[in-house]
Amino acid sequence: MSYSGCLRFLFVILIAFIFGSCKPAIRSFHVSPLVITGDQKVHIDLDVKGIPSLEFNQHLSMDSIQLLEFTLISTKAGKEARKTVQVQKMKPQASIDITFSTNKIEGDMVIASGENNNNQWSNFQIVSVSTPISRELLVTHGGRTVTLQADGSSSSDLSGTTAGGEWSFKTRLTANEKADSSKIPQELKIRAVIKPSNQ
Amino acid sequence: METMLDKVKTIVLLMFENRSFDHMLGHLSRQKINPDVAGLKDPLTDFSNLYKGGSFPVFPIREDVEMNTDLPHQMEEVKVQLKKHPLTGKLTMGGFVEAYANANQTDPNKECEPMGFFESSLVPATSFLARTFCTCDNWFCPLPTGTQPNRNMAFSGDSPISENGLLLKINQNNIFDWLNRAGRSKKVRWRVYHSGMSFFTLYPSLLSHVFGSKFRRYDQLASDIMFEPEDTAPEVIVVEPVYKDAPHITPVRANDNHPPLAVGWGEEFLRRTYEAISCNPKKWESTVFIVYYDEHGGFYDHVSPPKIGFKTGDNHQFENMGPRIPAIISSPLVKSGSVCHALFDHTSVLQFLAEKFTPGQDYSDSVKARRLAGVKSISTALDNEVLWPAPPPPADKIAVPVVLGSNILEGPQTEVAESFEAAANDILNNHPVEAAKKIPELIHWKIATDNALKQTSNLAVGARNTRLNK
Repeated sequence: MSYSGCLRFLFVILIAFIFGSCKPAIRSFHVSPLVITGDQKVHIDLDVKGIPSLEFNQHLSMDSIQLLEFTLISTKAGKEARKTVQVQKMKPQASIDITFSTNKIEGDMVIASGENNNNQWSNFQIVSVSTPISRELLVTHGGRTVTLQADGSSSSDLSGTTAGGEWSFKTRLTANEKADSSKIPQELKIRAVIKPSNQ
Repeated sequence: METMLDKVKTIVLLMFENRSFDHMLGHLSRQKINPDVAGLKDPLTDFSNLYKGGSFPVFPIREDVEMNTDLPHQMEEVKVQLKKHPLTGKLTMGGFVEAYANANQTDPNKECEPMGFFESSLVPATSFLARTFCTCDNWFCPLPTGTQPNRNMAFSGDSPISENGLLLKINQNNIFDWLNRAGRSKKVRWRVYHSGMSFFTLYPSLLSHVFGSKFRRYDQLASDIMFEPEDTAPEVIVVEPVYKDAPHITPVRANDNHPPLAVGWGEEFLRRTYEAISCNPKKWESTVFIVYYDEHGGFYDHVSPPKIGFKTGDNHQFENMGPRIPAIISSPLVKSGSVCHALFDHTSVLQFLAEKFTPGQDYSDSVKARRLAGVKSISTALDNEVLWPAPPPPADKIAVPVVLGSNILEGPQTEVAESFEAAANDILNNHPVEAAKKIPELIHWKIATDNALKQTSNLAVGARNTRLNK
């Protein structure tokens, strides 16, 4: 590379460095826990490049869950970087829906299974469960299995198990669903009443 | 007798980047602006994604700010987003939150970015055009993958690649070479208006066009529409926004709506472009202005794409189209406030060009194959026989959070600004020909200020307006 070419290259690197170092950045922004009850406090951990400010607001989600919204804004050289974390605030005893897509058929039973987010729900325990979808469900969780009636009546047979972790829901296929696979339910849902594990 | 196609003299194409139909136009049905649109409806919990046992419904975005990050929208990520059900085989549109969580390696917020949608107030120009002209609520991006393959489809009807690449290839059926070959008795006149780098600079084989006289600066658009004689005016116009991904060394801001951009910049660009396209009432009578998006950009849409497949040049077989994108046809040849439910994709535009300029012949074999598979031409939406003038776009401020358009709505707020405006008016009144040549942006500025003045008297504008006082 010629001398002038070298100079030009160094100039481009210098300009890129100047522009790069002018940008604000959010290296990390963690709020925990992501679900709280009552007057429980949250811990905020942040690492930014630039001048940080924290905005807070609260509102209800579309499914009526109270959301505490923390927005970290880092400002530098007239530019902004921002990141938002939402914390769900529950009543001391609250009901949540746990829903999974159906993913398997065994005999004449269709199964929906998966993890109910452990990061969010491992500090909560089940009080009771019921089914809101008007069909009988066989629910397996925490080493126990319970049959939930289609009439929506609640069962406390899973009481004391952790709300997070692996769940499995099974329901019998109807004659219509067996005859036409497009009619198989795409998801299965239970309604769980939960409370913090330390209560 | 003159057919609807005969009436079309100017076709204008404006393609934005990376937003889904529900994200930009789903509000039309929910806010009852146009209940016939297949958009969002209450309860919004009916429009949800599942992730790790939880439900993530769509939600109205409260403020048009720059997002945290871009959203995932490459081929494998789109596959997750469409989420084919393992038992029913249906595309459930249930994996947008999952793709987002996978890409960011984090637990998604309850109001997860891909599930956000804009209400009318945050997309005033888009919403205005949709409720004033024809909303296309069944327009899908041709391929369930990223920008470049979908743009290849849009501008050639084919794609040699299934995922984004570097230096791109495009076949001889690219829109420019095709237009140069089309036309029986005379060549089709076409032009591209752009500011900053044109997207077509990404195709080495198209650089001769890009460097030619048919590629012009965006700020010449209004002037050309207003003054250019019909016998030299372009019949096909491509208008390009400033691309977020292109290098920028000017103060001009990107306005292509590519996330994480706030959409206010694109809204401002859209209303100014519509204003320019519609500024000459005579030309507007025969203009069809098509606004569409290259792909969904990772944002949720609730309608499953049709199973119309495509094999790209790198031998990837797509089984279905990609998600719906926002698309609006603005023209006096559509009925005001109409909705076109016909199945469209980007090749619908190429079908339309072929109907207009090579009647009886398809644009290409690949576009023909899509037509035979059920994709309709844009001409399907043109069904209005009664001419009607173009209403001015909303002149309200757009907060992004920097306010755009305030100088247009409120007039100059300082003495120096007033003297600039006085000089501009003087030049336009006394030296219009020279102004059009040397300072063409003044033509557009004048149109915008005149439009704003028509509406300002109806608005409760707190700031003083020196134009109104004169």
